[in-house]
Amino acid sequence: MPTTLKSRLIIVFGTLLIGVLSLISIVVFDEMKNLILTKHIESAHSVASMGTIPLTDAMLSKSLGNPLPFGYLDNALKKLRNESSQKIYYSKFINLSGTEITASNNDPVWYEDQHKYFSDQTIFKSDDRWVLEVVEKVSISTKVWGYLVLGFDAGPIRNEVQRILFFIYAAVGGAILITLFAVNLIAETLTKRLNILSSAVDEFDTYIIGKNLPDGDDEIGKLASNFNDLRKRLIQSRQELKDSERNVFHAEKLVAIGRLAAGVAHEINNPLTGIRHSINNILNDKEGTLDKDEYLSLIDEALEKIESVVSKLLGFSRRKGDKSTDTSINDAIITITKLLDYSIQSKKIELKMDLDSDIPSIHCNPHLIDEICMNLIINALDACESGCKIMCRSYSDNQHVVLEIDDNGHGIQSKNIQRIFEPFFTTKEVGKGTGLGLYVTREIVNGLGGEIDLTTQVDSGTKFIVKLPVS
Amino acid sequence: MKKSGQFYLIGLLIIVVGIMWGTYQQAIDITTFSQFKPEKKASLHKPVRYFGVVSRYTPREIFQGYQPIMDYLTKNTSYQFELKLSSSYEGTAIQLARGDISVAAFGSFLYVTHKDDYDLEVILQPLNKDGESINHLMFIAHESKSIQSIRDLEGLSIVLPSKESLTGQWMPLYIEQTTGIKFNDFNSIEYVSHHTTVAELVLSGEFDVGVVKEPVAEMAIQKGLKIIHSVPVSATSPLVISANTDSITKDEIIDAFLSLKIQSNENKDFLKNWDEEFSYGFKRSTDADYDPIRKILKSINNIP
Repeated sequence: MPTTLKSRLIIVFGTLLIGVLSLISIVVFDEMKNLILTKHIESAHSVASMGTIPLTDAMLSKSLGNPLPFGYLDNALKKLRNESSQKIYYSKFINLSGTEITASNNDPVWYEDQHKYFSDQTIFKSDDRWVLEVVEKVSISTKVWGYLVLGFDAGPIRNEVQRILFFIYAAVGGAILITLFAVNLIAETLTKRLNILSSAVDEFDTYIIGKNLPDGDDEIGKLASNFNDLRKRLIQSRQELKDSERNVFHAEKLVAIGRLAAGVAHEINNPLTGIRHSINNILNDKEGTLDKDEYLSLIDEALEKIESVVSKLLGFSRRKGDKSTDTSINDAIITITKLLDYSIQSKKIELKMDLDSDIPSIHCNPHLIDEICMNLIINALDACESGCKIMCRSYSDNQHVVLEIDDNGHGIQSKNIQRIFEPFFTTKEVGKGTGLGLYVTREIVNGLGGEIDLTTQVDSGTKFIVKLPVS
Repeated sequence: MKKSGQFYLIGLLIIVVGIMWGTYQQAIDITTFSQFKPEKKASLHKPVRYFGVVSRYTPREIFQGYQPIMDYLTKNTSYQFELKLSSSYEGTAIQLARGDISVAAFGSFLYVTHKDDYDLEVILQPLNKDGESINHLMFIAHESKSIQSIRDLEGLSIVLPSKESLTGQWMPLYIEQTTGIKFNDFNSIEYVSHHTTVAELVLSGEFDVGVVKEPVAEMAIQKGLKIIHSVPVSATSPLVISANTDSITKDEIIDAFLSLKIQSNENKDFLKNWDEEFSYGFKRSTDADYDPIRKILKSINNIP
């Protein structure tokens, strides 16, 4: 069964139309056929009725005792056949006992064999010819002398019926075609607007920036109007969702930055402590016994370290911005690991890198790549105990840039694997995790058209694999 | 449209064409039958008796008006009655005398003149619509003519029925006795076989005046003729038998006609088809009932 509304309309209307018109045409044809038959039968009866006049006169004359002239009846019937506008195959005059008084010599044999006088009007076929036979009483009042039997050529009647039938076929066929064409036009008009609506629904995302659908007072117009309202509400909802996501991302970013800041603070705090210690020693050396150059050298070394940390922070911050640009995933890994260096060192984690320097860059906001790298590395750090290893690997398979963060930490329990990308799901202690890191990471990866996957084994570690399409 | 829809439509089309093709032969089959009901003559095995009618009307008119009477007699007697016509008034009397017919509708003049010749016996005479055995002879003229009475007939043409009828015989004398207009005072006088022929000739304008029996005159009025004079005769056209007619046949005929109830609603319908002269019933009749006719005959015969 066709699935389109237009096809269904045409088929349903077509079927109904054919059914109804067929019924009507059968009734009309039947009526017309009966009219034609009645007309010809009445005409034949009229001829037969005229034909009875000389026969009646003959019988009247006979009733007066006058003998009929030789051949009178035959001549009367012959004259009737000759003068009739309709072709008469045979004519007979039979009396009440069924005895033939006179006959034409036209095929009496088949007539006698196949047809008895049981009907006052009959149409039948014999020897490939159609015959209309009428029987008319030769009578006056209730006095009946016999019957005049005439066999007319019924071929013209059949031809007329055939013509009517063909005419009805043509008329019905034409009516069906014209109506189907009209239904097609109407269906096209109706479905055109529905198709616009359907396309708008199919291309909803792109249609959001498009114009409103034309509405109207009819059902389709109201549907389009409702669609426009729905679209407005959806745009509003999406905007609200985006705002919410932005807030979530911002919160997660703040958490990550907090983690970075903690490490940076430690990195700055140690040289600052050294500087303060050196300055105190120099200030307390009233006697001038200390080697001040040594302390100044230590101070300078500490300042250099602070400068290095600040420089790394500045470098990280400089990378931030909203504009898309060609971004190296390797640079992002290196920058992040440097910023996390304190945390890595403090937990005595062995960090290894296997970065393919030939991988292509990714065209996107660099901040997004930083977020991905930072979340995955922090996640690995959190999963690792002292002495564990973290491997950062990058490579390309021509179509994608692949980033792998592999640790040999405590792994993820199988019951949690399905949930780790859910927002606010965390196995960390209260206050140590928001449960948004992996969720945000997956959203960013998906937003860039990539995919994220993982392999894990409890107590053996976890490996996150991120595939990002090459620009 | 998808392919499935096209297949569906094509399938539908094939079915329609198939149905059309399948019904075509049946549709153009014009074979018809209607049951013919031949006349059932329940009386076909009854012995046949013939009923004569004088030729006062054409044979067609006689069959028209008298065949229903034959059906009635056939139904109400032990015999099948058939009409037997004659080309002359006297021919019917001869048929009766020869035994060719059992009974005959006679003219009163014919009965009176041939009673003794052929040993005739009157058995019934019809009544008129007033229930009397009085016959009226009507003078008729075209409505457009200025003729108002029989006193205006001088110099006109007149047409009369057979000389064998009372009308044909008596009217010239009656006119002379009533108006003084003599035979030779007419422009022309012609006798024709039938009363209806008289009416037709007056209607066509070939004759100015005609004289016919009352039933014919009443029909003629409807066709544009007028009655200018009426002559009552105290005897109607009788039903006559001969010595050859057996008594059973005679009695059954008399019983059948006298038992006819003309007021019955059941009979009114078929009486409409009877010759009007016979449709108001009958009374027994004797030879004496025709003495008035004999009186007229005597007056005619006294003309020098």
